[in-house]
Amino acid sequence: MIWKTAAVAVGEGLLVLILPLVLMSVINRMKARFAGRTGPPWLQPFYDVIKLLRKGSVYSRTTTWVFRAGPVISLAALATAATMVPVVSNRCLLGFQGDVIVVVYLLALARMFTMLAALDTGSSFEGMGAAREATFGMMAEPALFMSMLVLILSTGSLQLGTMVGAGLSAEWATVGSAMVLTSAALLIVLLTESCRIPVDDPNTHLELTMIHEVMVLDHSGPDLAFITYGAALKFTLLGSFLVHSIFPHPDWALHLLIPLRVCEFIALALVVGVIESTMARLRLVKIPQLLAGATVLSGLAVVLVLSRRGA
Amino acid sequence: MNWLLASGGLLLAASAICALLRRQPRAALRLGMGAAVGACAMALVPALQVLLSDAQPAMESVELPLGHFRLKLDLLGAWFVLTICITSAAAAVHSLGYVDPQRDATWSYASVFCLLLCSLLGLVCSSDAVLFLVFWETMLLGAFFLVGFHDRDPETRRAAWVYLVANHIGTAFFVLPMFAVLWLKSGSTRFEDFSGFAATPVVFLLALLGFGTKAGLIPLHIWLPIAHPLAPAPVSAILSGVMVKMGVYGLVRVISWSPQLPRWCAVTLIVAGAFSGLLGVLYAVAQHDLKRLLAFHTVENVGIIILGLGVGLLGRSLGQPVLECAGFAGALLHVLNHSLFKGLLFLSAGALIHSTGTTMIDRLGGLSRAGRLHSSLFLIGALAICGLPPFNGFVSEWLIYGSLAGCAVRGTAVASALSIVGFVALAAMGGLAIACFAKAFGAIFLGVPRDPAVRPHRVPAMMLAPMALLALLCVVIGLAAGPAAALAVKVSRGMGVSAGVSLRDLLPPSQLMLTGGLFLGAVVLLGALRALLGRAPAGRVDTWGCGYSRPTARMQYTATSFAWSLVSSNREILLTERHVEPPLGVLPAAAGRVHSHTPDASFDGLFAPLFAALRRLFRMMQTLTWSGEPAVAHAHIEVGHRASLRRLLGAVRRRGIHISITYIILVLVALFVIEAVRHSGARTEPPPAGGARP
Repeated sequence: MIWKTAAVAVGEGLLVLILPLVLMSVINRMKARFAGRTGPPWLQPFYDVIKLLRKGSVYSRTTTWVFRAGPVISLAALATAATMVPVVSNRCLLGFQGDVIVVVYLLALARMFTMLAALDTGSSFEGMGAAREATFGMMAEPALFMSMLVLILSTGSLQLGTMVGAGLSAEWATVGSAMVLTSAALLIVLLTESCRIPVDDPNTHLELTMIHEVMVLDHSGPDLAFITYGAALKFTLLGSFLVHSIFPHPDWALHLLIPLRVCEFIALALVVGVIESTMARLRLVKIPQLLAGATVLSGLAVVLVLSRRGA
Repeated sequence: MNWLLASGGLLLAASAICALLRRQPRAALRLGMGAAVGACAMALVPALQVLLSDAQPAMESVELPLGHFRLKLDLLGAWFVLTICITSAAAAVHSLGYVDPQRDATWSYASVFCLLLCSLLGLVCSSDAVLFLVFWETMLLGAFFLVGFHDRDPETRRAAWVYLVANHIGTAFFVLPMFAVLWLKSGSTRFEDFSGFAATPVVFLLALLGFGTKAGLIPLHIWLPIAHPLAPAPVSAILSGVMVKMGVYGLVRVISWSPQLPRWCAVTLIVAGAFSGLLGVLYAVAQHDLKRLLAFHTVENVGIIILGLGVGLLGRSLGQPVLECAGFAGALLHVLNHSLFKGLLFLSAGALIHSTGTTMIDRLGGLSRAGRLHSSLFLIGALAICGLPPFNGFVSEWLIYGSLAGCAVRGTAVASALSIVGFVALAAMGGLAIACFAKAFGAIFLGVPRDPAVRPHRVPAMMLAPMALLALLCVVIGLAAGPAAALAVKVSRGMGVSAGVSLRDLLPPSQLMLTGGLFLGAVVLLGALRALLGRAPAGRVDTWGCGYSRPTARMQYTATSFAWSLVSSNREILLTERHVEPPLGVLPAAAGRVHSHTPDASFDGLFAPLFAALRRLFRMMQTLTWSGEPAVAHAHIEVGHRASLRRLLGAVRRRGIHISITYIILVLVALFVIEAVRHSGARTEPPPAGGARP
């Protein structure tokens, strides 16, 4: 019995590990389909990461230990955060009251080291990317915390595992409008933090228009593999906030719940693919307005939840 | 308690001897700093005894000419002694490398340093209003002489003066009247007798304004970003890390005397803390000078502490001891944490001055190659002050977050809304701090040197060792979150949290330790994996310049441009001025220039007009009053340096005699009014000996 539980847990962990790259693949295929192309093979993100892991690294003469430590620490922070976020089921490896704040701050730690590694190259392009990341990351922070507050107020818990669990179903029934607003805000935060259209274009060809891609221009080999995987993992973690708050499932049997969740994640990736295919990147001066809009949406949701409780 | 008295005695003796050692600058510095470190070690003994065991607070009576007063080391006092001692000892060791015996008057530095340390220790141990005020005054004056240490620079003289006037306004108009009110109500100057009398709006507001001036709450902070950057770096570490906390200490004491503060007090504290924190960090982002940037971060962190105190009070008024405990414990832990990382950062700035001669961020760059240890230590301080895990700043902010979220869930509508504002403000502060320190660390230590005129020297081990100690403590508290939080919870009992309260159900700090360990494990594991994979590096090249192969140092992104997108989107708040001189002509002879300057709105908008009006008033009065030698207007004889006194009197004579005399007169008038009101009232208690009069 205990072996079976352990095997299921290990299997679930492995699924969480490969899910980020699968989602990237889904987004790419979706975008290719919109563009009328066949698109890369399904396993292309895996091939890319494995190829990068086997290569050597080219380092700029300007860089120091910070540049080499950046990808390692960023990925370590994201991996630690992944132990506290429920992804494909309602449970996570390590959950405790207050872990939501730890997770958000670990994401910020990863961002800090990505920015520092970019600044270490002394390139004006990467400095510019880091400045944009710092600005938009800072502006996304209130929206993310406000959305988390909606979930905290709804469930009375500070633990991600219970915040996004079955407790939210009742909330959808009573203040559904607040949950819709929160989901919209979380979607904007997700697109901002994982550097996707309409905030950043991962496929743009001009360094001046990039945010995330320009910060990692100088990374190569295993470092770039760490960064690529880390970005996909971050997308999955923030995506699971969204998926879990839109579809709050009770603790169903795992063989039912896990496939369902995977389908929901794939649906999210399809939505992101559709957004990327049908929208252009916003002008940089418009992005603060978008993020302020997300904060206002989640703030409205907080007001709705509070007013329902007061009534 | 004997240890504490011995430590005070050692400091006083060292102060006196140093003052005599004018001809032996090296000996004076070594003696003074050695005595400071020794005294810190001695004072730590009773403090740790009180904190770690359940011993009763130690008491001691002191006979002074005005009567006898009592020193008492309770939990709160011991916690602040801990805060004082660690950072001050580090700053003392750092001074040995920073202060130059060939050039500077080391005897006065060492002497005043010891005196300042003695008054800080005395302040948190005094259990009597009069004694408290005596130590408060010596602390303010000692810091005045240290801020004005490099007094050949007119800017420094101005800074010292602004510091002295601003703090004395806070003391005279708010702190002194607060104690006067308490004395009138309780009929005693002893702290024990104050409990129960402090829960009035007048006392609370006076305490908030008076101690808020010392703590640097916006808009009372104006002296802080002027004085802290111009003081010698180890002194800045003490000013920012320790002395600002004395304002917090005063507020904490007042809260501990008032078990039943009305809810609007909590509301005021939360609003003041959030406002101060947000504006402080916004101003910090816009600064060009590292020490000024750090000074504004002090304003931010004091805001966080006050926010914690406020939410603790809110939890108390909601009848939720767990939330009260989390708020207070978070605030108290942040007091210690901030003294560690801010001390570390200011000492780093001192090492930077020693190494390069400047703290202007845009002139520096690429220093991490020359000083790898220095840059690592600064990075630890930067990560800790941003509140990132697994460092100490995160632990205290986490407790405050937990308390805010708890109040949002369990509170009434108003309390919820307020906690939500605090929660989001704290999140925004975190994001801004990350941007600010990415800018500072990135521009100073990463990239390539920007100014060829800046040639870094090696930083001596004497300066790095105390920084390493502080950095180590930052990491240790961050990783040992459980014991650290437990200790802070214990100290919060000194503020009236009932004994049996535990944070286990709200926020389990032991689980946080597990996360820290997991993160370190992940770093080691991934680092090992990375080392295994990247055995054959493909080579070293120039930074990719998008096809351009001759980059120069001047093409780098500067700190100013890094911050500009944030600053410009908050331009309505910051009122930043930007001057652009574009390059002229088709083939410009000279490079273009861009300047930006962020004025301190509360100085230009509030205090400058106020003082201008006062000056006009005094000019009118001047014709009526005597204008001779201000013989004893400021003769605080505790600091017996004739030269310094002469300097002080000179400064008084030159500039602000009217202001300083007026506030003394105004306070006297206020006291007389209170006295008159009291005698006309029904109270009949005889006034006690040695009252709280100036």
